[in-house]
Amino acid sequence: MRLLKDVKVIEISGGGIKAAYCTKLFSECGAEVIKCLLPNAMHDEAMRVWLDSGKASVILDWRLTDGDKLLRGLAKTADVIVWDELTPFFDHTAWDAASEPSRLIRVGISDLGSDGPLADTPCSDLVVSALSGMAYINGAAGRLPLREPGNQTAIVAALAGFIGALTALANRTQTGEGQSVDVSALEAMVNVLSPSVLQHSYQGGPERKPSADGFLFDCADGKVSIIIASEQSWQTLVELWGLEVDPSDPRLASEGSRRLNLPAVRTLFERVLRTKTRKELFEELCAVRVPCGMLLSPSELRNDPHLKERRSFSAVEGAGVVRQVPGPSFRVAGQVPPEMRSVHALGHDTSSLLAGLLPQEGGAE
Amino acid sequence: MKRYPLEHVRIVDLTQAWAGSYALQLLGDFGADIVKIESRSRPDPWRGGFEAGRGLAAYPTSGPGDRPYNRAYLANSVNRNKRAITLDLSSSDGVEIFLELVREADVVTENFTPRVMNNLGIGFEVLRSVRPSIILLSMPAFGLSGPYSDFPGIGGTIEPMSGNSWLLGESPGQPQVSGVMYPDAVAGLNGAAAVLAALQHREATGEGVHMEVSQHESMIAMLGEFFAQDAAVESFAYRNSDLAYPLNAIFAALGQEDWITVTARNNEELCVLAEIVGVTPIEDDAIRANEIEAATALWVQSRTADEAERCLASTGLAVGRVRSMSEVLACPQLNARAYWQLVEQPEGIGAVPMPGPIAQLSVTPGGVRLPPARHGEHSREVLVDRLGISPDKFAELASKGITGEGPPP
Repeated sequence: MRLLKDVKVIEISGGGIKAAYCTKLFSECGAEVIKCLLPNAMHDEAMRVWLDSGKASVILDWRLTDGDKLLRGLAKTADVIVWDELTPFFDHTAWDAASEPSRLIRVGISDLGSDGPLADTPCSDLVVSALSGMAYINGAAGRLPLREPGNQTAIVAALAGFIGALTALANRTQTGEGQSVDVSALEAMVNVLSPSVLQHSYQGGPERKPSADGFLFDCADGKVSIIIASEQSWQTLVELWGLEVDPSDPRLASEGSRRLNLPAVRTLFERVLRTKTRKELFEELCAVRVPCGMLLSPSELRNDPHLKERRSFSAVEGAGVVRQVPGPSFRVAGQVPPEMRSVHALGHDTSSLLAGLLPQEGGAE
Repeated sequence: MKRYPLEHVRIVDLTQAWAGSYALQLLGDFGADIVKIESRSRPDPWRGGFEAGRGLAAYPTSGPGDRPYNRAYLANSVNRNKRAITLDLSSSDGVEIFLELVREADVVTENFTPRVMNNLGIGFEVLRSVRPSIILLSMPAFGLSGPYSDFPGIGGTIEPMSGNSWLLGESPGQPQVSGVMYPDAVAGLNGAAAVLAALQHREATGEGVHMEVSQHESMIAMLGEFFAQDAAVESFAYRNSDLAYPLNAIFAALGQEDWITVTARNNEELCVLAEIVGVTPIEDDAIRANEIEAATALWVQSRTADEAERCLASTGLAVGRVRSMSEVLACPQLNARAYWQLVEQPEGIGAVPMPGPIAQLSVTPGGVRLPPARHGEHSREVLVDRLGISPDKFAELASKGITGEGPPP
């Protein structure tokens, strides 16, 4: 995608996912992204493969006077600068004060926001998940709460940073004015949970789900998800499978009661489901417009024919190792992502990008 | 008068339910002018149908009222800052009016299966013929191409197909699904991002573009860190663990349904925790982490959540209280940052807090300009006042059920 080919982005990195994923989205859209790291910064090659392909890599010590000058030199021609709470020794308030009213869009992404009583509280993805209500909602009654796997509050925050940055850019095209964008992962996750927030105001709750597996049903070779919420889907299944439903059974009488009595539904479905594979059920039910999904392991996903045809995974080479990682989360219709990408070696672009930014000799390594 | 950063952007929205409606709400919060189109015969499924008790019972405790479809929290949670109209797109009059709206629009959005837009005669080429610079966002469950592309999908089926349910489980072979149809929201975030990227492209080139968000792929992208590892993906991620931290877990405190999370982000923090919970240091880190986690579980279990949180947080560990939604609404951090927006709900439900915009912009912050729209509430305003259709013609169209408000006549 070359949608953002005229946009230049600087990432001031401390190895955090939030800033890196935000600028990964820019990079996937064709923006020029320069990732700046302090000398001797820790790095993880697998995470770099996931987050940093297509980005220029610069080693720069912004703690030093010359380093700060170089960073500001780079930023002079940039549209967006992004950092997160793991970016060390970076005084964003000085940038805000010095930049107003420049054209630069300054995006800070943190767990809990740049101000407020908890802004400096030690935090993690798990803590954000807990504070946002997500872990509570994910847990089943009688079981421990659960966060979404991995660092998904960080990715949600990164997406919010991308949305905020592009919104600020759209505003800049109208006014010429840049601004700062403050993203809190906590606020972004609560925004994601808007339906649950309103549910609470309307009805109380939401309560934790009654069982861990929800709409997942056992079948011949694993599990499938079958959404039986709508009356239309239910009637389709009853006819398709010739199910004998006792009309006087209150557990199966309505959409709401079936949702609350999934064990009774499981018993009814069992005879059919144990004879069919996930793939058979997926194809059979989707063909009659009943939403159904196969439970797939990550390894199975890599070999899924649909994802292969769409080239949903890309090979990324970093430090001599090639790994298959998910491709862009959106695309221009009809455009296939590149088959192979690579990660620049750490500091690969330091001299080419910093040359000439200081009147005297040298970078600031 | 307050100025919004996207107030120059006009969007004609055909999306329904969560994913698409949420994408548009994110843009509406920053001022985009959105006309949401529903049908009089089939309202957005998140409205729960015209009769109370059909679909999800999503009404306030005061009941469904005379117009339950305007009182569903699901629909009202993702449809603020929009004008809602109805159009019958299976009629030539409906398509004609739709294309009139497109003529003045920047963006059209839809989340049907891929063949629907062409079947309705409003595919991308038709849209471009009336508005050459138009941006179309399509959000089908499985994308616009590939063997599954015509299959229906919603969050609850996308999640197991993306690997998320597999990894969310408490242990191998015990998969779980999220408490909400979470992949819808993820697709919504990506939908908003895709529209904004396309708008930036159009600003630079004058070209419209057809954007595609596969809800399936957008969910898989959330799991990239697992796919990037050298070891088999299946060996990671159970029970809240983290690839980067030696300890990341949730513990039950004294009492019912009260938990705290504890993250030891490095070995030093793990040592601090070990000392508090009474574990003697030994050499093997992996064994120690498991042993410390077990000891922490016992330690937390014998204290109230408040007590445990206070003690652990005072040492600099990352600790959090698992909050229910009522506790989230009382969060001092969210309140201090003026996060909540008090928004009047339709049909006399009253004003309730809703989440603020997804990011805080310093010069042009977003906000709530319009409350959640009632079904067809703005049909007359948009068709008569904006498009110039005569009141008589509007009345005729409404009498045929092509536009108007509420169930079919």
